[in-house]
Order: sequence, then C-alpha cells, then structure tokens
Amino acid sequence: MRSNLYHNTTAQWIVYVVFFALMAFVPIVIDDTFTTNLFARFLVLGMLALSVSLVWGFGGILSLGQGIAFGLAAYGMGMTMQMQSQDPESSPIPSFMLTNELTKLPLLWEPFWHTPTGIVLALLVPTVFFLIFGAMMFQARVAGVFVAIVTLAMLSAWYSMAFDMQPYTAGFNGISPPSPLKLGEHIVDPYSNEAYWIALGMLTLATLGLKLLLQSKFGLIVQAVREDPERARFLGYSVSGYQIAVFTVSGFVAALAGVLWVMIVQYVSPTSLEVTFSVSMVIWAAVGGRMSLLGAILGAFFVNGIQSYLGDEMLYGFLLVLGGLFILIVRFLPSGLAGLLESLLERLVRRPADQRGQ
Amino acid sequence: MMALLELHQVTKAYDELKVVDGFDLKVHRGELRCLLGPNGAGKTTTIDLITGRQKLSGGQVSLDGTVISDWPEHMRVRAGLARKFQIPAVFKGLTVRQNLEAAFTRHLSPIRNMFVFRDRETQDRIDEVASLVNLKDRLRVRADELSHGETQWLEIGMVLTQNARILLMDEPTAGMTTQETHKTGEIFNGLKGTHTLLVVEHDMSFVRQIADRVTVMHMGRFLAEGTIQDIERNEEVQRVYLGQGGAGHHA
Ligand SMILES: Nc1ncnc2c1ncn2[C@@H]1O[C@H](COP(=O)(O)OP(=O)(O)OP(=O)(O)O)[C@@H](O)[C@H]1O
Ligand SMILES: [Mg+2]
Repeated sequence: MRSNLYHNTTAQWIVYVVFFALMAFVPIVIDDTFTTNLFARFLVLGMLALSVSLVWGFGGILSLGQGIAFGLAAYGMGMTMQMQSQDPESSPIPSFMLTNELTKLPLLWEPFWHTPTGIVLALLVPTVFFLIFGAMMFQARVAGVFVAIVTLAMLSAWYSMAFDMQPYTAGFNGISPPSPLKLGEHIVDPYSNEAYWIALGMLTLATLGLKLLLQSKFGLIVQAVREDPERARFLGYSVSGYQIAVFTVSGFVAALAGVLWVMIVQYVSPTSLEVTFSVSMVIWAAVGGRMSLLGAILGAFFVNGIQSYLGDEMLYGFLLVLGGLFILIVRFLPSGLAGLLESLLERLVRRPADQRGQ
Repeated sequence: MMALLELHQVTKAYDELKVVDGFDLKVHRGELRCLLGPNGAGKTTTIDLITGRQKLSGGQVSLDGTVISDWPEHMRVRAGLARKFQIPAVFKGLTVRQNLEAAFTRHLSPIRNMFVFRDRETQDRIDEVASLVNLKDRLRVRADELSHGETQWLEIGMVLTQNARILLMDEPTAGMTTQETHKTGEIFNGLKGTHTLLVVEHDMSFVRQIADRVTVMHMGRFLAEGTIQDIERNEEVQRVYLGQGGAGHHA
C-alpha cells in the first residue's frame, strides 16, 4: 500500500504554504544585503528546478534545454534594463554596440525601449519558442533519450548565437545594464528585501500554480503519458498535445526565472545558455526529487548552497562531485531526497500497522 | 441491420508474407464475438489493424458505416473503439484510481483538462467500474503492485470506463488463475446486450462460458464461424486448432 501522509494532498498543501510563508521571514532574520541577494538567486534557481520537475519528473521528458527559455528571457530582461539607461536623444545606442561599429539601434532592440513590452516579450518569446520547438519534436514522436539530445543540440545552437552575434548581444562579455530595474518611478534594488520578496512571490505563485495544474485531469494525463504513451493514445488522448503543453508550461516557468535572474544580478551573458548550467538544473531536481515540486526546489537550494559555501576555487572539483552525486542518486535514490522522506513516512505508517497485525 | 464493426477484405503483408489475408468480419451491436485461432493466426494483428496501431496493406475497416481505416489511432478511439492489449498495458506508476480516472475520457483536450478536477460523476463511475472488476479495495494501490490477474482486471476496467461503442479485448484472461478466469467470464456475461465486444481468446473453457458466436481464423484467413458447438464440431477447426493442444489452455 502506498498511501501515507506523503501522498495526502491536504498535508502537501499545508507543507507548501507553510514553507513559503516561512521563507518570507528569511531576509528579516539574516539582515544582510549580500546574503539576501544570494538567497534571492537561490529562489530563482529553485524555479528552474521546478520547471525541470514538471517537464521531466511529471512529464517524463528529459529536457536539457530549459536553459534556452531561461537564457532568452534573461536576454530580453537585460535588453529591457539596458534600454532604461539609454536616452532617445542623447544616447540612443548602448555603448557596446558603438564599439562594434553599429550606428543605429538594431530593429530587434527597438521594442525594449518600452519596459512593459520588454518584460512581456522576455516571457512570451521563449514560451512561444518552446511551443513551436515542442510541436516539432513531439509531433515527430521524438522520445526518450532523443529528446535530451535534440534539446541539447538546440541549446548549443542558441549559445553559439548569443556568443557570435557580438553587435547585438555583446557576445562573451554579456550585457550589464548600468542601473537596477525601474518599474515606473520605483527602483528595484537587487540587494533589497523587496527583490527577494518579488522572487519569492513569483516562486510561490509558480509552485502553487503548477501544483494545482498537476492535480487537474491534465496533470494526471501528463503522468499517464510518461508511464505509457501508447496506452494513453489508445484512450483517445493526443500524446503529443499533452507533451507540447507541458513542455511549453515548463518553458514559461524557466523564462520567468530568467527575467527574475537579471532583475537580481543585473547582468546577462552566454553563460545562461551554457550546457553545464542546463545539466545542473536537472541534477538539482534529481537530488531533491524530481517527482516532487518542492523537493526539486529544495534540491536546488541544497546543491547551490553547498556550491557557494565552497566558493569558486573549488568549482571544478565540485562539478565532478556533483556528477558523481547525480549518478548515485539516479542509481540508488531515484526519487531524490523527497523520496527518502516518502519511504520514511511509509515506515512510520507500516510499523504500527504491522504491530496491530500480530 | 448494419454491423457496428465491419472488416472488409482486410489484409496485412510484410513483404511477401501475408499475416492477415482478405479477412472479413461483421460484429453487430450488443454482440459478444470471440475470435479464435492458433498462435500466429493474425488475431493481434487484426486488432492492430482495427485500432490503427498498424497500417492496412489492403481492404477497409468501418465503424457504424463510416470507414475509419485511414484515421490516426486517437481519432478511432474517439469514434468509439476501446482496446485491451495482449500484454496488459496499465500506467504502472499510478494508482488504480488514477488509472481508471485517466480512462474516464469525458474531455480529451489538454487545455480543457487543465480546468477539470475530480468530481462526483468521475468518482461514481470509478467506484462502479472498480466494484465490477473486483478492485474496489485496491483503489489506492499503485498498479505495479497488483497481481497479474488484477492487472488484467484493471485494464478491463479501464476499457469499460471509457464508455466506448465496441470493446476489443486481446486475451483478457492470459495469466489468470482458473478462478479469476471464471470471474472474468461472469464480468463479460454481465456486459452482454449493453456492450459490444470482440474478444480474442485461447482458453476454451472461458470461450464456452461467454461466447455467443465464434469466428476462427487461421494463417490470416477466415476459417469458420458459428456457435461454440458448431465450431467444436467443425472438422477443419479441429484439425488446425483444437487438435493442437486439445480444448484446454493454450499458450
Ligand atoms: N513485424 C513483423 N514482421 C513480420 N512478421 C510479423 C511481424 N509482426 C507479426 N508478424 C507475424 O504475423 C503473424 C501473426 O501475428 P499475431 O501476433 O497477429 O498472431 P496472434 O494470432 O495474435 O498470435 P498469438 O496467439 O500468439 O497472440 C505471426 O506469424 C507473426 O510472426
Ligand atoms: Mg496475439
């Protein structure tokens, strides 16, 4: 029997809500702008793990391309914030373009003069891209490991593009908007509690939204498709339709993370489209538990927490350890840390029941 | 009266080899038809051709007068076909309840289903089917923890939940104990009249328990059709089929 507290939806909702409510107090307790900013970054990385949990854990689609949505959105937000510092009269062109011998603002950049348009595009373009990309993949019945390969190839293509289109993207250097995000007259200081709370608010909305989505019939069918696509097809469902939908939603969540990321770090570069980054997201979700939204988020906190504690000098050694950890988890703990909790609760339920049975 | 399901000169060839060869079949509304035949006769292939899992090399399939043989699988299902696979196919990582819920296909569109949540109607239907297939106490169990017989019942339950117009059952009792097989026979007999079924079977005692009419195929071709008594008396059938393993269980 697999029905313990872990599977009780009411209990899950309570845990989720309490968790996010408690997280709101973190900046007040730590009372340090640098650490608050660091934690806000973790929240955004948690959102990426959330998107992986949805698409891979629940949808069974091993996407190594979540960084595409993140990166595109991050560039959109970077462009938006960059244009906030430009002036149509005195300085209509970002300085990196001048050094790349552009004399006119490229058409691609024009919409980003207007902040709301810029933010909407930053969210919309990656989402629509995931919709089209997903439709191409899943209608051709690309499945299993081939999804990983195709998404990885697509990610690499975007990475090269961001890198090579120097006049438009500032290439390797990336875009560093001179000042923080302005919403109307209001300035969102990346080091403020407010920035943290915005990130937390968005993460809460995204998580609870996805949790609700997964409890709908849609969520059930997405999981059914993961278990056995052919069976689902013979129940009358369009398998590709569900795969495209869940892939697109995951792209939107990753895009939201990209927008928040640039709000918090005030910088975007091709590293956001790096392969190692997208692979890391998958590892965070695996460590925390890909079949649990909250588990995946905590996995991201956990791994990134250790990583920043160890510092940059240890980075490459750490990546090696991370790879090893991933293999161990996949082999011995397929449901991650959340799975550990699940079996713990299972044992708690079993023990009294067994004793009664004797 | 027009047949609900009609196969006309249905053919499937792999290169030279015709595994189904000009096969005709008519199943009428409310009928329970058994499809019999030795191993490799082409029974599963015939079901595959009806449901669109494999492409026809010739002939056509129609449902209630509409030719469906060039439709994609999920469209045929929407038109009213439901299928149980020879190798039981259930969603192993999901609970019995979730399996049945997935099969309750009131809405099919992904967008639409984002706004559909468990409701009374679904629950009632699930409970009803679960008690019919003896899984009422197993609703919270994950499907991969079920016994082989229970897994078969779950898939039969899923096919029933679908509310289809014709149920295609490929060896529903394979791997069941004698008792489970008998119980399954009772379930099927309870469906007669209200449901239309095409049942592929090997187990002769089961066929005797449920069959109205029996069609026998051999090497992809039609061999005989009639009541179970006719079929058991038919010499040709005895030669190709019953002679092999007697009238008992047959792998
Ligand atoms: N892809 C294929 N290529 C060539 N021959 C095939 C292929 N698939 C099936 N066959 C052959 O088609 C014939 C019919 O197979 P089918 O599975 O329909 O038989 P069946 O009547 O369901 O048998 P069983 O009782 O064993 O389930 C068999 O001889 C099989 O070997
Ligand atoms: Mg067969």
